[in-house]
Amino acid sequence: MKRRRFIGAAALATTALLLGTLAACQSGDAAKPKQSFMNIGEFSVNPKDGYTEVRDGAGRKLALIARGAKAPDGFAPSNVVEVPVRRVVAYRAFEVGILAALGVPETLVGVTDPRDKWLRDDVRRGFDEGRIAYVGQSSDVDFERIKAQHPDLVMTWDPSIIPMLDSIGIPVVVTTTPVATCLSTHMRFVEFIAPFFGREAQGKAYFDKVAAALKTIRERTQGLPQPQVMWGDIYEKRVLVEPGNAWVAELIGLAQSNYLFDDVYGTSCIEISTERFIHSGKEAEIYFTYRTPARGATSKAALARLNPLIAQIKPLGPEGRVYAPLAHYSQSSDRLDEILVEISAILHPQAYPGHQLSFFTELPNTDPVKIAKKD
Amino acid sequence: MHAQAIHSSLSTPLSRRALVFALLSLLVALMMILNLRIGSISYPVDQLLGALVNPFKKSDISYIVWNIRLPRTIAAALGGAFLAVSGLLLQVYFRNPIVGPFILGISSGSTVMVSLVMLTSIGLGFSGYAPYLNTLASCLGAYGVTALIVVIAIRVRNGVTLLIAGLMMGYLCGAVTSILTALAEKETIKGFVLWQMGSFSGFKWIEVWIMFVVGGLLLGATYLMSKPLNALLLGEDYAASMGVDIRRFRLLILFLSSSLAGLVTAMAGPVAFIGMAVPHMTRLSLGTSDNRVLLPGACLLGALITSLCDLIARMWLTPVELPLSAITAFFGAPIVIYLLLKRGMK
Repeated sequence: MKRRRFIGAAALATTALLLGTLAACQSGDAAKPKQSFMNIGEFSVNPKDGYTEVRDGAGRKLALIARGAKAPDGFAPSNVVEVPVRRVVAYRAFEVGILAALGVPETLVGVTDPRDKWLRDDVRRGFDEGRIAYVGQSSDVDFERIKAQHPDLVMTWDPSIIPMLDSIGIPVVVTTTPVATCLSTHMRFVEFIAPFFGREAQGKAYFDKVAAALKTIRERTQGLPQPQVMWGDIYEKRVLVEPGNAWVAELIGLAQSNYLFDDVYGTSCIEISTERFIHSGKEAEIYFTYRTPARGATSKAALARLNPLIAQIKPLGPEGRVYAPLAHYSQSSDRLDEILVEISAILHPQAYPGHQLSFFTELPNTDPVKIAKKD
Repeated sequence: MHAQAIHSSLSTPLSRRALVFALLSLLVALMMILNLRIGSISYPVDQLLGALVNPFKKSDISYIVWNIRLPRTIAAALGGAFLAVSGLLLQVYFRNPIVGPFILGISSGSTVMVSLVMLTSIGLGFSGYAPYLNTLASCLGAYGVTALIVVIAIRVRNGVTLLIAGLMMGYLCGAVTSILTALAEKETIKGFVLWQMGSFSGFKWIEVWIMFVVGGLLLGATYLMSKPLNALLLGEDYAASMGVDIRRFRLLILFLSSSLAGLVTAMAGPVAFIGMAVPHMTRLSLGTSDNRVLLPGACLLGALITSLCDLIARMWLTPVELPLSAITAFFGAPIVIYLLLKRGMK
């Protein structure tokens, strides 16, 4: 009896092993690690038999299939994407950076900002070569222009364009969600995009690089005094801040600092009461403004001039520190690890001696006096 | 409204009116105290009182009470009163109960000018005026449209034609705003969208004083017109027989109404619903069409409802602020429907 059971089990195991080996041989990629189900915030990547099922930011399920393969049942033709994608239109600068991180910047054929708004060399070059086209404002794209670019995929934040693109046969993936992006999702978003381009290994490598930077930040800032930090701005009379569930707020916490709007929950950039902003501002030591120098953030005095109320917050005083993002900051998602390190270096300059700022600028107390040339 | 019904409504018992006025005054005072008391930062009552009596004390609480809460509280009450009176005047003028202060395109005029400042680089040339630039632009837009309406009203006697002209002006301004929004930088759009939702947040004392002085004068002038307004309710011929110069009087109504609405829009952005709904609520609660009673009644009720809506907008999801216009519509529209249905059933 025992012997029979043993023989049966051995036969089953051998058959399973044989079938597994055969399957691996058929795919021709036996060494490739099998990707498992991934939840990336609101997004997910779920490898199935013969295709990969992804859930986008709008909760839609898309099937990623190999080029020329049969589409799986249960998916509308517009929800099937042939991979690797060779031509893509991207709405946000964030995704453009991710393409660079995956090593496929040449797949970009359409963007929603004209050439002069881009500070990335790869995008400018794409415009100059005629590969990349400006397809109109993101709030009102030109569908004819998109169609003319023959994209395999459009990456967008705007679900309202889906019916129109469905009708012209262009698959769409929604890359934003109704909730603020947490740090983990922000870092792992690359792993959501990677399967569209067959670049899972590069996606993993990029994530590992960012995760390593984060680990170093944790170690380097361990036990340091915790500065009080605020991130937001007053636009005329309305106050907008980064909520506590946003990735920057999480990063600030991980880098041994106190984010003063930790209790605010919402989508990225949310309006709060003026009195709360001023009250928290009295405790803050470091203040990140949304405004770039081009939008008036040239000095503490300039910010106070724009909004007299803001003059009351501690960072605008002589001992406080105020930082403004530089124009290329929002287009540098492929350098997320460097951005994380830079924010950490701002929070704890003593842990990063000699760090040169490249994504933010520290605002001086007053604007430098302009000296007119005599000649 | 039928002449007999108007006559009878003009003679509602005084005791009821006095009671309603006393109640409204008390509620407005309570609401203002509540707005001062409650905020996203909570302070004990004794500290608040201490801050109130020591305006120059250098403390967090003094700053918040004197520079954030008090100006906002007063502005919300004044703004509500002005919008309600503005709506009441236009409802008498057009003899149309669904008319509000923004029907003639005043808010659109403000919006187009503010969009020019916020969505283009025009504002960069006036950085010296930065804290007041939107207010100035909004003021220019509101009063620009007001001037146009008055000019059109001089030429056109028919109220419906004027109404259509106002609507068209609104569409034209809306078109310009849409184009500017389409061409604007992404980072500036959110601020502009927020402005369009209206708010009494961030009011400065200078703005409160402007509202108080200019609005006070306009309100005083409006009250002086309450008798001719009553006469107009009974028809233009009747008013003319009572010695009212109809043409001038119409122009005066338009000027006062637009100026009051323009003043609020300039400072706080477009605040929906108050101007249209509060006059109804005042009529129903006071049971009269007598403008000598309705005008102060609308002032009080407008101040009360706007202050309450502002409190809800501030405190519902504190410290997150909700758009004021969303609260005013959400809160008030069902009340108006209920009151109208109730009156209809009677």
